[in-house]
Amino acid sequence: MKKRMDPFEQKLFQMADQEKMILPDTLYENAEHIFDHLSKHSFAFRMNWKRALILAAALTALCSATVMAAVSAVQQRMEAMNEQEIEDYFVQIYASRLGADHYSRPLTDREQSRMEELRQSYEQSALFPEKALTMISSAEAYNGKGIAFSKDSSTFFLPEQDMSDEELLQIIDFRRRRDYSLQAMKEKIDADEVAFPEDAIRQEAASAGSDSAARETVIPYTGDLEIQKIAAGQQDLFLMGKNAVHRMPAGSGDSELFFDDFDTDTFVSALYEDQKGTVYLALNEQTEDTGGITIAGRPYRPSLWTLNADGAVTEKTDLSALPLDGNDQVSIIRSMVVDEQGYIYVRAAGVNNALLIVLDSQGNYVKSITSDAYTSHDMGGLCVGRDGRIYTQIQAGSQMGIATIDLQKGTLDEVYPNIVPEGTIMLDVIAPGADSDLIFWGYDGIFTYHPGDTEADCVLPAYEAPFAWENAPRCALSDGRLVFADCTEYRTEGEDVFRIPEHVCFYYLSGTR
Amino acid sequence: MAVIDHKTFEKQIREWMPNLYRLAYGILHNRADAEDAVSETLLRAHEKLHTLREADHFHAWLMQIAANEAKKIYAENKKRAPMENMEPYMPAFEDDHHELWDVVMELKLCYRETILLYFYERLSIPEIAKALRISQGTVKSRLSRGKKLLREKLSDD
Repeated sequence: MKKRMDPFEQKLFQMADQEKMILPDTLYENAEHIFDHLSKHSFAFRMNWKRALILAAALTALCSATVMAAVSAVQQRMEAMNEQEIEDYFVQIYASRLGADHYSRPLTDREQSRMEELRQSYEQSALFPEKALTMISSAEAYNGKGIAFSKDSSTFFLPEQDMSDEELLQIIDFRRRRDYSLQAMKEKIDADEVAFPEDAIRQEAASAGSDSAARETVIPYTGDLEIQKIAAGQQDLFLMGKNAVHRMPAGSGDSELFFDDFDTDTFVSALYEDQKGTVYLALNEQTEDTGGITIAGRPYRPSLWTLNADGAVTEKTDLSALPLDGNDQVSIIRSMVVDEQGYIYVRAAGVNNALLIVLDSQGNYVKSITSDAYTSHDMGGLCVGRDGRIYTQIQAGSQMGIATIDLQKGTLDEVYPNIVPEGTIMLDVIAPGADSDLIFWGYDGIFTYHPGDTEADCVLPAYEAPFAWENAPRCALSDGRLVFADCTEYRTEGEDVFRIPEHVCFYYLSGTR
Repeated sequence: MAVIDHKTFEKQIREWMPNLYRLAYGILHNRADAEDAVSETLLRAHEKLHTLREADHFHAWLMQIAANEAKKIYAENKKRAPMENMEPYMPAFEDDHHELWDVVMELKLCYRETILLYFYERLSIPEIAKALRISQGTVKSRLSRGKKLLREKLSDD
């Protein structure tokens, strides 16, 4: 029998039906333009409508008689560009995989207000820069002086100090020329005066792609595990799925079963391999005991298992009843490392609070690490640094940092607060870097850091990431590379969709530019 | 071989254009971005037309692509340099009946996109799960929580 819809739901459907949004005329015009182009060209027509809209808005605003002379001067400046320049700007816009520009650092308040003043002077008083903006082929080519634009990443590289008027004008002029070129080429193509520069765009796009390919490796997964988490061993990658752990050499696409001898339905939430090859598994085992935590309505017990290098279990510890403050309980262990003395450091979600706790090598509770000034989100990273110390992510409000741990006192030791831009979302991965003391990953980017520096260096911002990495399982290899298991499709059975990756590619990112 | 030809594709796109724009606008809160998302959706749908298995699923398939393209722009916006001259636009409606839209737009993205696909696009729970790449259980809980929030907000007005 069909389920009856509740009255409130029925009301919402009716309200939604009655609401008739008026569409902008440009929407259908754009669509017709795309259809027309698709019928003539094999190459996808990726006009940046936003820039066209901005340009249209800017041109509309320039109709005052008092500024006509300046408008004329701007127009003359634009029309003085030769055909090759116009095509170059056009090709650059089309070849860019990004729909907007970026700055290498946020503009200061002074720069923002001065930019606006200078834009008005540019448009209304014909105030132009003396020189053209410097173009660079890649981020590596920026020498830290003046401003430059990398077309591959659509990024303006800015000096550390506030930009001068000349530098701000160079940005304004560059954008104005590019917008003009976009409009001019679009009109010429529409009028069949010039051909759409497909070949040039293909070459430009291929050139941009080869630059990023040098910094990353992509390996498709051919194994059969339904990957839920990944962890780096001393040499290999460990892949964790329900009731199974696989092992895979870094750089390989295929994995082999490492361990699946679990007593009940089990999720492996974290894994650490020490230098002797001992493997520590943080588990949530399904249990009959309903007093513990529940996952998807079923009771699970947090446990820690220790396996020798051959994959044989040597220790099993129930973590459901540790003597934690406030009668808190471990819910899910997020990350885990082991120091040279064999102490096991664990970041976990507790029932009440995020936990940072230390266990001895037998899994006995030693102490909790606490701080009055900083909180420790359970998703934050944890690692053994090259100096042997334990580093972990800390936060105060929206400011992220890292700290070492003083095991004797049960407190944070050296604290490096606020080292990434405020608002950066969680440093989930912390590890020794390839050419830096530490490498971090957070949703907003990959950073490198030397303890003591005032800030970390963003080597790969999220907008340059080659895939959507927010939910990808991730870890850091011992050589400082970050690995992501990017899922492009989820498993479906009939009408059910599961959060189980169907097609996985492993991305290896170097953490160096 | 594609289950619909290009002429039919164009016809269907024109018919679903208001829905595409509404969904994109609902996710992005911005006219220019929504138009970009619709353009990208058209291109992506054209490229992927051969993957459409049943013509009857065109609407759900198209909305899946639109949600994906809009969310890509949404993610990119988080880090983008401020675009000068970019004024926020409010969508226009044929009359004053857009109370639901106004309160839906106050919701967080995860509830907003689910509510838009369910109540405005009338997609089924399995279709929404597929479009947003989340489990059916998550869709149900987001719908339940979203409806609760809507009930509170609508009763406040």
